[in-house]
Amino acid sequence: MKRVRKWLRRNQGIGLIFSICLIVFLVYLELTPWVHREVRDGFTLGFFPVVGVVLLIIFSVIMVFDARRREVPEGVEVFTFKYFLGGILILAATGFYFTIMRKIGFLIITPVYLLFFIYILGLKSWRKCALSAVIMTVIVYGVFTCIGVRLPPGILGRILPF
Amino acid sequence: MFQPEALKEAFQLFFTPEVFLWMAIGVTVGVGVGAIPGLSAATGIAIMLPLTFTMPVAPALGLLIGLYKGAVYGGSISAISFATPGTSEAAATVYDGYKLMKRGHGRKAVEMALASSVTADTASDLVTICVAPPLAMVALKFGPAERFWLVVLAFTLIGALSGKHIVKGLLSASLGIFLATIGTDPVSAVPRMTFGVYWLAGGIPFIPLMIGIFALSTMLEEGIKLLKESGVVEKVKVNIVKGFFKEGAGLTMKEYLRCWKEMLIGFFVGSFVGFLPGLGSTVGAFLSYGVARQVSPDKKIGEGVLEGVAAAEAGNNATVGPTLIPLLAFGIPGSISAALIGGALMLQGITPSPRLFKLYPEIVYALFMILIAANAFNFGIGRIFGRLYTRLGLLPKPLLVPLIFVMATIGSFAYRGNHYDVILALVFGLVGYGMRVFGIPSAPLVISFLIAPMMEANMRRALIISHGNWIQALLGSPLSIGLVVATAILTFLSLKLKASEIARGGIEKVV
Amino acid sequence: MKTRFIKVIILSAVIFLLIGNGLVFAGEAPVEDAEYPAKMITYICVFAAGGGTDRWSRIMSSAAVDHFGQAWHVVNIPGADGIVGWREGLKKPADGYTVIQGSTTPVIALLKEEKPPISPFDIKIVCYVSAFRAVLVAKPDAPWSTWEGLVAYARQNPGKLTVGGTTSHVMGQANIFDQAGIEVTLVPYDSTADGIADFLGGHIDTASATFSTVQTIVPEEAVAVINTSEIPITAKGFENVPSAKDLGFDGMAFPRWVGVHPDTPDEIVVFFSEKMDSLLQDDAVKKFIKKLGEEIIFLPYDEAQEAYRKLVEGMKRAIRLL
Repeated sequence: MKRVRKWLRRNQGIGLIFSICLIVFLVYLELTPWVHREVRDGFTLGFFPVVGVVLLIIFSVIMVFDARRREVPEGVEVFTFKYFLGGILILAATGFYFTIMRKIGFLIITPVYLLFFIYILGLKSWRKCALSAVIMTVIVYGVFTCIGVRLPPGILGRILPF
Repeated sequence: MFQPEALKEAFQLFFTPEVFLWMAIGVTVGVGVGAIPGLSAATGIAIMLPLTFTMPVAPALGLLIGLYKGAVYGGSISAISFATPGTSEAAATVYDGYKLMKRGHGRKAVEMALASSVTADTASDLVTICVAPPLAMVALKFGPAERFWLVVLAFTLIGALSGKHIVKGLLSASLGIFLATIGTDPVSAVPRMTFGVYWLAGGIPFIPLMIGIFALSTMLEEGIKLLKESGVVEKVKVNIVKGFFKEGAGLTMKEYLRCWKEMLIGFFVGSFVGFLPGLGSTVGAFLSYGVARQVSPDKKIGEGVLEGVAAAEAGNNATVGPTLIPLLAFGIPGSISAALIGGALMLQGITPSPRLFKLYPEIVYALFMILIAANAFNFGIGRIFGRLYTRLGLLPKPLLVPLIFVMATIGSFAYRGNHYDVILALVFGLVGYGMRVFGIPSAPLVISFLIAPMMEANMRRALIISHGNWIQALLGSPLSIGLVVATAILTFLSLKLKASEIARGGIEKVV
Repeated sequence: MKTRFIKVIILSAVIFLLIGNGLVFAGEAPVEDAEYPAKMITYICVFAAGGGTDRWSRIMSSAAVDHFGQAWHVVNIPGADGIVGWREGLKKPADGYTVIQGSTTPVIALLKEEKPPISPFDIKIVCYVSAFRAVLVAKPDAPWSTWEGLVAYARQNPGKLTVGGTTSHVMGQANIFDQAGIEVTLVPYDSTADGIADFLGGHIDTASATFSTVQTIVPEEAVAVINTSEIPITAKGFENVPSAKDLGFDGMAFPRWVGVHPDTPDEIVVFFSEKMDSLLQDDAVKKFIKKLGEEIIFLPYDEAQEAYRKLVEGMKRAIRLL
């Protein structure tokens, strides 16, 4: 099991995983009706997307067999599941932050987002975190307002004139 | 063709305090707008356009041209400081620029970007003035078939942008091709590959893709690294104030002159790309960067050298002047910047058309004077901004990463005011991070995403025009055949180059 | 540990206060009773800043307060050929405080979509402010440089003549050629500029463009063959260009429409349409629109609604030709 996992970290393994996923995707595409619908100049609607997928498959397969197949990419060498989870979490938090921001306003939610983000990234002083979060928010808001872009004012927009 | 009387008039139009004042304002606003990811010259111009309604023509052109040039430069400042290209033109600058920044040479890189932009821009403007009308005729000879082959030619450079492991470069390029097919079929205008998501019907816009692939993925990588470290080290000591006043060394004359070859490549490639309608300055930047890498493999372009910055920036700015040729000769805007300048002229009651040179020669001359003078303003004002920004880039990582996340999020929203763009930017942030982990380069994806649609649309157009006759469609003119030969030679040369690199051991450890 | 606890308490208190505030403000009484318009009007432009529609929105909004008594807040919501902005507009209440400016581009996109998210009739048209005419241009010395010559040539060589233009333009041309019973090859372009460049370079025989584009190359490089709409061109040098009406065809003009939510009360629509009319008579607005190379072609709500219905039906037919 361990050997398989180690092998999967090589370019060979990565190429194999890519190829399998892409072939499944290609089969799915071929089964969807719009792909085969012919347009005015004789090409099918799915012709060019399929070309893209086929190219992806070709190069993934080559990865399994070429001269560098035994190498482990630098990033993969140190990669763990925690990394992946961390990345997803940061992106999800950012998406959530954006959704909330449109509702209750940039000036309110941004310091909160920045505060927690800075804290977990290693600045372990709440006071410094809060200070920098507020300063950065104000600067960003100021810059955008100066050049005429209105950031979501949210609930503050009803009390503040700007 | 040359009219000395008109030149005198143009001088009178140009040498006024208002022109200079508005040009300075334009450059200042432009650099600010450009440096923010998602906000481009077009946004800036849309904001400032109402101001020009009541202005005479010369100050209005000064403001808009200054703004445009400032924005293009501003884009490269943030590309270098935060790996976040502020405008799409600056995407190719990220590779060497950000690596220089990380090594503490940010100010040098920004000044190199400015110096090479101004050099290539001025040179291309001068060329445009001298040879505009005859060149315009040549540009029209490029029809769908010729443009198709030109794009194929550009594709051969992807090898040069692929890095050590060429298959991964090609994989990345294929991903770019696939992503570019999402949207609308260019012939029937029917949505394809949208998975039933209606807002994908317009295709994936370039700005959110770029913000995701470059800015978010870089910052995600840094952020995850910090997360891991913060678990080990209890406290990260940060002195914010001290960091802000630390400043790297500036660019020296010697370093500037050292990059003459890259600037020359940028000038030629950029001017050529610029004078053909429809390719655009981002393509100019990537092509010039790719050619420079191809020409001097020993300079290690791509690993953080000034030559890389010079090639990319010269390549994108050299498109500015020539892009006006089709506009001035036929009223056809060849690029966004040309369309904006054309729009500004129209607001002044001057319609760009074949009559333009005959009816308003003084305006045409004044336009070129402003184009050149704006470079000088950009050089002066841009330096100040550049120093400020590179200091921001030196902010400690735990502060920088969240700040860029906020900027990238609202930037991709502010780009069009469309919240779906934020979703796309976040998705491509993850894609870009994955590519980093697997060691797949991003440059081929970006360039093929840009040029694959041109290749498809032009090929299909050529086929429709020739009623389905492939040979006549694609090899119907001497120019097409010439381009095919050039492509073949270039492919052969780059293969040979790769082979000799391997033989020399330039690519280490081939098992 | 203790200080940290206090900080958490303070932080939660602040957040609680802010959310509480938000609820209070959200519960504010609406201004429905007051006479329309009692507050700022949100004006959605469904295309990006810097484009033609955007310039129309901004020029008109600069004079809005003088005619409506309230300012317009122009918001650009582009994406999916304008459908995103249209849809966002429909999500807002049907009180006339959210207005959408669009063109035929989103209508075509909706007709092309298999499962469109909204229908082209999910709008109550307030007025037309302008309309494009698709004008066909040809090289002066070509046998197809007049309508009669073009018909004769196309009859002899079915499908040989190439006609370039953007999707809407190609549709406008196809509509006429279909009625004339002649066959041509339609070449699609992303932008009118690309099509005109290929036409000037001799790669395609004819190109379709709006009047404002056409007047930049006529008469030096090209002649206008036909105006495919029913709206005549009055400009100097274009008096003799036959329009669809002259030739006895059903023409198609591509409007810049202004619309509101379909449930909006009729009196608001009537009011808005009247005010738009007076706004477009404003000298400053007229001047800037003219400078853009565009023209004001105003249709009040009743005529515009009828024209829009006809247009969508016509497009449904023409779309099959592509």
